[in-house]
Amino acid sequence: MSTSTHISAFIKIALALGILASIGITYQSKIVNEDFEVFTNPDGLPELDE
Amino acid sequence: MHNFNPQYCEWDTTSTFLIFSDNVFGNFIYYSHLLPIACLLFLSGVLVWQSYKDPAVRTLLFISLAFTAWSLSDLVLWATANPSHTMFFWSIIIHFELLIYIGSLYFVYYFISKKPPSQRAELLIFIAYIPILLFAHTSYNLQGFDYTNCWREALEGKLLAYVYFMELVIAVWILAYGIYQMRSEVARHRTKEILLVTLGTVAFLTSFSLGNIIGTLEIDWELGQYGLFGVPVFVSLLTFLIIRYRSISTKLFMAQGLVGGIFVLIISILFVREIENVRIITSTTAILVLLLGYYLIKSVNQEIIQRRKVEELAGRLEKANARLKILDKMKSEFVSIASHQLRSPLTSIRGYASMLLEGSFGKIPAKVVDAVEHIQDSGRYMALSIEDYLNVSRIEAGNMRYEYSDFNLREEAEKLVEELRPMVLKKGLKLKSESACSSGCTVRADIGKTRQVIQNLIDNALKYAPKGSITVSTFDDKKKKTISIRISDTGVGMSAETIQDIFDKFIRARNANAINVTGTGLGLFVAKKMIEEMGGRIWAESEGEGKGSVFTMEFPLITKSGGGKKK
Repeated sequence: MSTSTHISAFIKIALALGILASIGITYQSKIVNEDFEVFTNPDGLPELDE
Repeated sequence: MHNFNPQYCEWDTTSTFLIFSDNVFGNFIYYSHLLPIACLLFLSGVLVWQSYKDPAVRTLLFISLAFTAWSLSDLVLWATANPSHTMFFWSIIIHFELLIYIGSLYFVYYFISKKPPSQRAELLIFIAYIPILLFAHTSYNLQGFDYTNCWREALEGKLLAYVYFMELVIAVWILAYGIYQMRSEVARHRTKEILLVTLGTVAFLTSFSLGNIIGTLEIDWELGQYGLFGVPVFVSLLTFLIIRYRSISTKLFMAQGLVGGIFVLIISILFVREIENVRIITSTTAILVLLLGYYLIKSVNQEIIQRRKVEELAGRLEKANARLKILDKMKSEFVSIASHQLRSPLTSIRGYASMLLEGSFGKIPAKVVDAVEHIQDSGRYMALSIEDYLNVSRIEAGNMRYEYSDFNLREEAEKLVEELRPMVLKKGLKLKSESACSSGCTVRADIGKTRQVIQNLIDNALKYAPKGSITVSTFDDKKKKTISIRISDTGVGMSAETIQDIFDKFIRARNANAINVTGTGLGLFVAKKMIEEMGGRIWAESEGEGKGSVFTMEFPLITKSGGGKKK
């Protein structure tokens, strides 16, 4: 394999690992820790469409 | 924990496999998501099955997998009542979305130029992706879960705008690359193919993103789902283009598609019918389909491989044939030039030898006479050989000219016999002439060439008959309206195999060398070509080696009512 092929493969692997890490962190944040803000109305009840 | 109560909005909090719940009203969303998944995986799967080495095909499979991940994540968003799930899947869906776009860019590159984007382009994509990797889990992507209404939505952050911008850039990049390639000199003959794949890919991406575009513009999330129905359509177009332009066999694709499709349908019965014993029957049928399908695909594949081999061989043969024709023409030209060069000095040699024998330079001793006679004989054979070479060149170049006239064949044959008699007698052979010609014996042909053929045949008989006799008979057949000359000898004869190809170029009787006979192997070839060109035919007969040969040439008889070949 040439150097350019190595670099190309490295970029792809880095991107794949980055995405996996991002998904993992998101899982930890949103599902395990439920670390997100919830927007509600001042009275605490959502507004219905109807 | 958050202080909201999903029961307030009457959400269905139970879901199967995260994607099946009553929150997805109607089956429309399932059709718009699951149908494209099935189509994409099926098409790309069959393509990979057939041509897994093709990077464009593998990229299409990658796009299908990314689309599957995106579509299933999106289904979770439609089905779930759990804000954590909504936040998670909504956060990660941008990865799949971008992977579909990046995969499409690679697909176009691989399809058009058979290589990936440049390293610089790959690096650029990676750098552009870094903010998404860093902020996908943060509030820059999703600000939070929106519980101000009952729509089970997240509030989108600024990162989404960046993702959409990136998607737009990639789509424009694909378009620009396609147009650039279409205009390039190298791909000029592939304009239609490049145009279709570029537009097909952009249409696929547009169709895929329609839901997001409409949803983000806050028109209607449900309306946007119609765009997903376009996904299988455009992927089918891309599949068609791959089959059409990437030398993938349609037959094999159809066979694999058929077998795969039937197998999936049969297996699906296992899940939808609950009749007693149906599982055994269905499973058996599925296995049978798989086995028979395997042999069907194998045989189709073998047929295709064989056909490709035959096509390849035919192509090579065609090239070799063209090359041979050129070489043959060059050879004929060479022979023609060389023969002309040889003929002039030979005429001079023969002329002077003749003059010496006639005593034009005074009386010569008997020993010298013998030597000069040898020179003259050899000169004559050499002149005949050269004439043969020249005739072959003329015949092959199509330059042989014929001067047709009506003449008496018997008379010409008898004249020739008398002219050649001294030479035959000198060799110690007898030369007889017979005629059983009851009609006028008139033929219409080129008199010079006819004489040349008869002389060739007598010369041949002389060469191949070391002793015995040569008989020249002329006879006609009024019923068949033909007149023939038969030259028979008591010479070395021929085997049945020799007779088959004796009129071919450079072919001589197998036992010719045994009696030390020189010859070019062209005389009979030239004779046959000339006789056939003049409307006659010629053939050879022999009872076997050592039993003499008979050569017969036949012409249409000219009667008062006419006949024979017109000039």
